[in-house]
Amino acid sequence: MRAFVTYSLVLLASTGVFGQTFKAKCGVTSIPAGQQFKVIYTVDAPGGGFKGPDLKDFNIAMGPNFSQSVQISGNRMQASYSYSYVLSGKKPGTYTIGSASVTANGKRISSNTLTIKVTQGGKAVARQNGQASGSNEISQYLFIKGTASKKKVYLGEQLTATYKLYNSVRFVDSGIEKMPSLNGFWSQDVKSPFDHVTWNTEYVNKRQYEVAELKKTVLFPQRTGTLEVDPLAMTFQVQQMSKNFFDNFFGRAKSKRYKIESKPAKITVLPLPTKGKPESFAGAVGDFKISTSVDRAEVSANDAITLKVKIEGTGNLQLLESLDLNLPADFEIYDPKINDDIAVLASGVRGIREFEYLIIPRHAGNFKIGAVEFSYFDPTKKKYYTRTADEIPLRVAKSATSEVGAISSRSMSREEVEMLNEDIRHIYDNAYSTVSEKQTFFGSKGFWLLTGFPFLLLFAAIAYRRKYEERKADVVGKKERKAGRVASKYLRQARASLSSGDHNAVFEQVATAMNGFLTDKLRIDTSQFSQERIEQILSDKGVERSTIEALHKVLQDCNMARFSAASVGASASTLDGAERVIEQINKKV
Amino acid sequence: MKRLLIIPMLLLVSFTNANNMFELGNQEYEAGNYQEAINSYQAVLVNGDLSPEVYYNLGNCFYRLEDITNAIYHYERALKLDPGNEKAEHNLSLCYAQTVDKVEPLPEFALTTWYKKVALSQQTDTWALLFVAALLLSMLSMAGFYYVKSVGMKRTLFFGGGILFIISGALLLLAFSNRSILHESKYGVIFEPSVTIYSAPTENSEKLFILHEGTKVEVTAEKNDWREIMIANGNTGWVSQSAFKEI
Repeated sequence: MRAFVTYSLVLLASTGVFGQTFKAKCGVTSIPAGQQFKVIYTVDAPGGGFKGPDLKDFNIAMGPNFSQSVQISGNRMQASYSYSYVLSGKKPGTYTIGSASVTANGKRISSNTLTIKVTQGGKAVARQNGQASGSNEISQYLFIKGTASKKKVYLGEQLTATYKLYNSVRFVDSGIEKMPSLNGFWSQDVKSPFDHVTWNTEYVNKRQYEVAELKKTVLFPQRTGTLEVDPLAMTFQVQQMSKNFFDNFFGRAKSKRYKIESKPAKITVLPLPTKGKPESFAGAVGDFKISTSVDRAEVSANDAITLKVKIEGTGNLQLLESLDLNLPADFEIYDPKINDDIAVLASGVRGIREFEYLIIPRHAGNFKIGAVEFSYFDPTKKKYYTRTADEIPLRVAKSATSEVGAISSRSMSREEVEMLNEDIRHIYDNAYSTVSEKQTFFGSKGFWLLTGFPFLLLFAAIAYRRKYEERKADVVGKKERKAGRVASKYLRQARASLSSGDHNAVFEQVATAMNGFLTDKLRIDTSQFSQERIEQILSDKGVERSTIEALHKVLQDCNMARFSAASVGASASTLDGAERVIEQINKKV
Repeated sequence: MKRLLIIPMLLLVSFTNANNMFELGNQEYEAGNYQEAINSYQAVLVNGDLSPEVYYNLGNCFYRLEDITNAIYHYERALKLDPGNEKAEHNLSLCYAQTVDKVEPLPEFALTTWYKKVALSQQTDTWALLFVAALLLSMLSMAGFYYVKSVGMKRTLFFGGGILFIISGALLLLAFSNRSILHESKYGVIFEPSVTIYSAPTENSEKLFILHEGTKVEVTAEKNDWREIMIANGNTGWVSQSAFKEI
């Protein structure tokens, strides 16, 4: 086995003359389990993309650590770059540490493999010293305590994890076996094991211990559920007290190697309540104040202003991101610069995170900016709070450049560009017209009266006329009807006379009837009563010639009858004729 | 006797005074003293009269002073009183080429402009008087229809009366149009350099868009100090009444 290892090493070493070499080296070939040893990979040219070997069979205490060294001898410079691990074996057995690879000078090269034999750990040591001991017996005298300041927190709420070493033995050597990974937390170290360690004295269970704080970290849980403050492990080479006084005195006491690790602490992370969660909430947990400021309160358009948003307080400040500035449109905003003044103390993370924004107003106007809303959850009070910074008045004057510059933000059409070269028309320089807004007549009472008046007038006129016509028609009607009646009366008398045989009377009565009828109907005086006149009037009124002739005949007959004896036939026909004539004239006149 | 003369004298004096201010304004404009010209022109209108020519001249003064917003405002006022005025429309188009918001104003239907011109050609009271006179004549004509005997006359009077009645209706319409044109305050011009338009009459509502000075808006509703406005492309929103001036 040894020969094989040596042989392969020599073989690899010989190739180093011609090209880049990547060598793996290990200090030991056989080592007890639990005991640390170093493996170093070295390349003699700058390399990148280091890919380590598969180390699942080992505990990685540290690594890969990168270091480089330069050696100048005479005129030659030799540089070497190395990647190292500190490992310890888990279980006894023979293991091969596979090769690692790196890219150097553009070529990917692999290292040699290593074989290592892991022997029985504590037992071997115990056999050496003749004492059987587990690590339990030491835990009374030497232990690491890992504590968390809070066991139950909200998502994002800070807590502190502390690792303290309690020691009541003497140890000659110590080393970090494993650092806690603190998965699920975002952490900020207050103190790390690489800082200077101070020792205090404490009494626990009636025993005196020397206590050193190894590590103090502020943790911010990044997910809900159960998280673990996992163990920090160290190894110590503890001096054994021999029963032999002289051995102790002369420092020949044996020492034993122990692995000490802290017990894990479980942390319950609660989700933030949904009730009352403000819209602007973005994950800030703690206690904060917000304020804003600008460097200038009066600018011209297109000038830049610096707006600073300051969040001050304690909590997950470093996880805060840019906020919504709530600026009016027409403002250009650039990504902010973040300035932090934050201290990580044992009590937590506290300080100021300042966002510095560059903003440019594009148009003139009076604005109020800076009313930025910031919401956070206070885990001690278990409530959401929203704070709004005070608004700052900002006056933006018109851009110092001409008007055209102000609208360069939108493209101008060709017509507009042409128009810029045109000028306005000239003023009216002769006379001007006026329009009075007041109206005194239209809509006034007088106006409505004058509007209504013509209608009234019309209705009155119509009414009056109607009445007059009515009356007139009446009078005439009366007379006409009367005329008809009187004539009828005499005609009836004539009929009676006819039937009684008094023919003379018939003619007389017919004559009377005709005369009366005609005078009334035609509205003529008896003095004007002559046959010619009557006939004239009748024909004027449109009475037919036949009717007029019939009338003429009737009147003639009556006249003749006065002077001569009448016959039956004549009187009857005359009477009939008279009736007919009257009827016809009635129709026409 | 003296008292009777005083009132007409005063009117005459005020008229000539106003006329003088107008002349003075013109002189100052020609001399390039635009601010003084503005003062003179405004003195002409101090007794509450409106004048399209004076508004137009004021528009020119503001344009010269590079106060485009006020120029727009005054040209629009001139056009309200004298629709279709070519000088005002031309100058206004130069102004709109320089506003920040590019909002294309819809051209008015030519017939509408012509009608407005006609309606504004007389004072409101003039139309009212003419209406009453026409109505009276029409009624007299109709009344006469009932009184004359001749059929020919009757026909003339009836149709004449009918036509006069229609004319009087038109005159009444003109009187109403005249009044509504003068009194309507439907339009305004934004004076605030940059103003936010909201979705509701309160600042706690969504911000819709921004308008800049010189933009003409149409007022469609009001609530307290807020006005609902519409711009030429149809977008609507609410704005504080202090941000614009009514034309």
